[in-house]
Amino acid sequence: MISIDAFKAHCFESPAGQSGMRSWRASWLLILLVMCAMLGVSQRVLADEDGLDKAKSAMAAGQYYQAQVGLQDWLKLHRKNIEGRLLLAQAFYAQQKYPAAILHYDLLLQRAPENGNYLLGKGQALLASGQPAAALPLLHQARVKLPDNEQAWQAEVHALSAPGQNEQQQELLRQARMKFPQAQWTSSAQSGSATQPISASQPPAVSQPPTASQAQKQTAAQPSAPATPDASPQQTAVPQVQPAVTRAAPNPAAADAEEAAEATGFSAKSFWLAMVRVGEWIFIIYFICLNSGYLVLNLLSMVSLSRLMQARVMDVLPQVYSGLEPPISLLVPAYNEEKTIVTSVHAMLQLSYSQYEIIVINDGSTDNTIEVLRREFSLVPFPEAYRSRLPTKPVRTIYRSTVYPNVRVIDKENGGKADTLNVGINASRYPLFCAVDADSILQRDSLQRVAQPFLEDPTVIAAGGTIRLANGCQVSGGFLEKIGLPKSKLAMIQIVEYLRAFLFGRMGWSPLNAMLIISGAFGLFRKESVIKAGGYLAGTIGEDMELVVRLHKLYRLAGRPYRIVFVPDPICWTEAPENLKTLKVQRIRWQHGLSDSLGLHLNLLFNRKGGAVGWFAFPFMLIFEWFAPVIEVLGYIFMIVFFILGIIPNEIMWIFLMVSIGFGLLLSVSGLLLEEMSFHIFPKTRHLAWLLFALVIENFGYRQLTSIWRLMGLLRWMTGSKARWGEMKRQANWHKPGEKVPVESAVAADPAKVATLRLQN
Amino acid sequence: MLLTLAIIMQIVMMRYLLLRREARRRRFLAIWLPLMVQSLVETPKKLPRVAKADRLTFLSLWIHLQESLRGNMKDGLINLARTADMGQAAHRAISRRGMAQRLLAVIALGHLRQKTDWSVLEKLLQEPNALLSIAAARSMMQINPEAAISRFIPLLITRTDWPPVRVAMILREAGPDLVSQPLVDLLKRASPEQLPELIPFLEQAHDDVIAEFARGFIDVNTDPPVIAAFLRVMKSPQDLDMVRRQVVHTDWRVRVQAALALGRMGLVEDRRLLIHLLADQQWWVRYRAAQALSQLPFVDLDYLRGIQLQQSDRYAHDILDQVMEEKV
Repeated sequence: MISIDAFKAHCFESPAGQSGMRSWRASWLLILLVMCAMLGVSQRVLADEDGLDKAKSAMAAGQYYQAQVGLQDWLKLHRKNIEGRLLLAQAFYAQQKYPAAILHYDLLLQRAPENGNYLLGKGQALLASGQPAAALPLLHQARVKLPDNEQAWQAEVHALSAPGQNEQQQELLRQARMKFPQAQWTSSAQSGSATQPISASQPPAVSQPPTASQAQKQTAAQPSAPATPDASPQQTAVPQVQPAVTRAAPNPAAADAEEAAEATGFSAKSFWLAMVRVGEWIFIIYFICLNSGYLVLNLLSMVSLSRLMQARVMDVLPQVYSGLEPPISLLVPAYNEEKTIVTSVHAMLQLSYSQYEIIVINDGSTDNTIEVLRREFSLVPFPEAYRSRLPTKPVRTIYRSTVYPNVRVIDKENGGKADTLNVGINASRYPLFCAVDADSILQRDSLQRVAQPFLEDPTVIAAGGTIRLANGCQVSGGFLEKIGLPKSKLAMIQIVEYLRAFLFGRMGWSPLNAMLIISGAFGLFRKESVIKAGGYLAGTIGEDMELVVRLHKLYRLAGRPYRIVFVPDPICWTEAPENLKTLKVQRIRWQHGLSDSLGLHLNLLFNRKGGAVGWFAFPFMLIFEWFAPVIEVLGYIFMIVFFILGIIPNEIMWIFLMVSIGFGLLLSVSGLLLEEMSFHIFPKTRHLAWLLFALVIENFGYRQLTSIWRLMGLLRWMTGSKARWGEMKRQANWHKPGEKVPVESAVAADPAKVATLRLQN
Repeated sequence: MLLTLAIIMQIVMMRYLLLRREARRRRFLAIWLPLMVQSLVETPKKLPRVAKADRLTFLSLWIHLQESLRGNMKDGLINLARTADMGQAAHRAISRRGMAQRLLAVIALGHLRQKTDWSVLEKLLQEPNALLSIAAARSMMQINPEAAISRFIPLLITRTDWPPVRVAMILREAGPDLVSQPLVDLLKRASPEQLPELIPFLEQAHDDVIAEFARGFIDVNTDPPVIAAFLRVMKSPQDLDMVRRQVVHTDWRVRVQAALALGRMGLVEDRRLLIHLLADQQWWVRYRAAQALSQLPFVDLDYLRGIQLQQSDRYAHDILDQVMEEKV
């Protein structure tokens, strides 16, 4: 099982180890950057939405330290905001942190040197810090600019406490008494505390602080800081001004600890709130990117499909073999396929192609697969000079059919599908091989169609075709006779899903030569290319995808010309699970296979030579397929839970639903549009109606369920759990009513193994 | 949501139009299929007018029948199309943008065999679109094979986008008398890199032409893919000496083709060479040599068993086992 450590080791120890390491480091760097960006965004969200208001509230509540911390954070992003700066200066002043207060008043005065409020604030701070001489000119200016401000008068009176200024102080007191007769005025000599700050115990005014423009004009207005606008004369009289800020507790250390704890609480709460906001947008943006990416692929597919459909007019010409068609080896891995294998091989014998052989590889089946084949095709042991070009599990016997010269059967020890296919490659005699699932139903011209790219372009090394679901269709003699829809809604939804996956999931990547998957159910490969790449990787679950990714990597990194193409014609039909249990096993396996395939070739990601694969398809697959279940499941849980808790506003929830379900609907509908534009294989209008119904209901439950299963697959891969194929029992009732079912299949059918997959008519 | 609804509407509309088209097509076939079948024997006295919307259906059906027939029976169909003014319809379709219409029209012009259409097709031969240009080449071949071959074959060097199968089909339809010499001339002009792609077309030429050309060529050309390509198309016993010399070639691809060629045209005395190849390092050489050996005159199972007993090489022994079993 491949874990993160294993694929790290693989990347580093492989011949391309250096580039692997670079890619790995680059990936971490990318993750780090994304995290930093998220933190930045969270800070911004916090600052934008809550910072200033919270600071105001904290100031009003006398929580100056909290206000200070919040404002300092907020001002990092809003350096030029005057309102915030003024509040911060006030917060420092209130905490008797005069030098800091002076610093921030200085910053304010740099912008508005004539502002009376700022002059008064700085003067008061200087006065409070024991610098009356420095404070005096500022306070004098402030009093001139704010002649009606009682605190400005008081502060100047207070500043005139130095020896030799008694006369001036008395004169000013006289004027002050005349201007403010209600107030109590005493000289500093009387108070004996001339150097103490004024009203430090009172919260500075936070209501309606001046904006930058207002502050410049507001020369006659009441000072907003640090004086209290509604301070009573008693409170503001010089003798009554005490340095004792209420929180100047006897134990400053304890007070600081309390403040720090409060501050931390404030920060953590805000952080989580910010994270919720960030989370909302991450999920929404993710779904937008995901669906937009698929929409782009959809558009690419539309262009390719329309060109292809135009060229299909050439199909009216008779198919004549030129002798230039490369012969093909059909490799049919079979594990416990006793019910279907005979029909499948008979169908394959009727394919229209100039030269091909069929090699059935029995992967140590525990049922009667080999006996059924032996009887049906009159197999005899064949002393083949078997070449072991790819390492595999031991081959027990090679048989050849005495009835059909192009049929061979290989019986081998059980080793999994990849190992089985490698045996087939070793035994194949032709330059192209086609891996076909034993339960696949092929079109008669499927080989012709899928081999076409190899005829037209010598650089083609692999071609895959569209797989359609045969559920609900009528099959006769291994060939599709009548197309229909299944009764099972689960299968019907999967039909829509397959349309989407093949018609633009793959068709879109093909023109960019960046298709990363060729379905294991039907794919044609150039044998020598696959052997050079090392064949199928035994032990993997997604061996089909892994091989294609590896081929891309080898050719891209070597800079060799190649093409991996997609043939959109519906050339192969297969069964879809019709019950949740089987579907779950399948989806877990698929996700596991995807993880294997991507994890083993991470050094293709953003590789200098990676081209469209390394720079588009691989990252797309990584983010929107591999990592998708994490985001999707978390997204649904997060949004629903927080919506219920009332943390997420209705508008955000609507946006989320629109981008997740609305976009999903749009994608499914466009898949159906592509189908209608191209092959429209579902002939009846009611089929169309049912498919439309299926694509709607798919979004409510099915997609979420498959996301959970995929997440399980991902977690199993990450924890190194052994992947399994699961039981895929089949009914084999493809045959139309009355058609003779192969005797061996009927005899071998175990009632206890009644298939869970029914092809309903 | 609006976009989704719009697409759903489009799907429904497309389905509606498809059903209408299908119904129209069925009606058209009900009228015209009997007429076309009748035209194979006698020209129908009265033909209904082909509506504009039915022209492509007409061409498609007509081409299908044309391609299915051989000999003089095609003449009746040609008369029918000319009477229905399909030549004009094809010309109009060629000037349109739709690739499907243009392709059908080009194929139809070939079947109509009117010399007046030559210039249109000659122009289309230069089209960048591979399907359209190759269809034009075939149509030109149907109108005037001699003139067409002189224009078509030289393009094989530059038109690497033409599907080789379609090229081979055209060459086969033209026949070896027409294509042999132009192909040889083409190969003489081709660069060594182009040769492996072009030599397979020689299969459509006369055997003696291939042999004569190959004789002069293989001796001076040492490129294994080129030699292998030549060996693949050689059929004349006159070339046996040349083939025998390649049995010891250092490249296994050449040895495989030499073994295959000996299987096709070898004589009894070539057994020694093939037995030597049974112990080759390459499986394919051993396999083809064993197969070739089994195809030689006077070689039966007993003879093969005798050879097998003489083999000290295990691989040679195994491959003979396999081939003997295949021969049973």
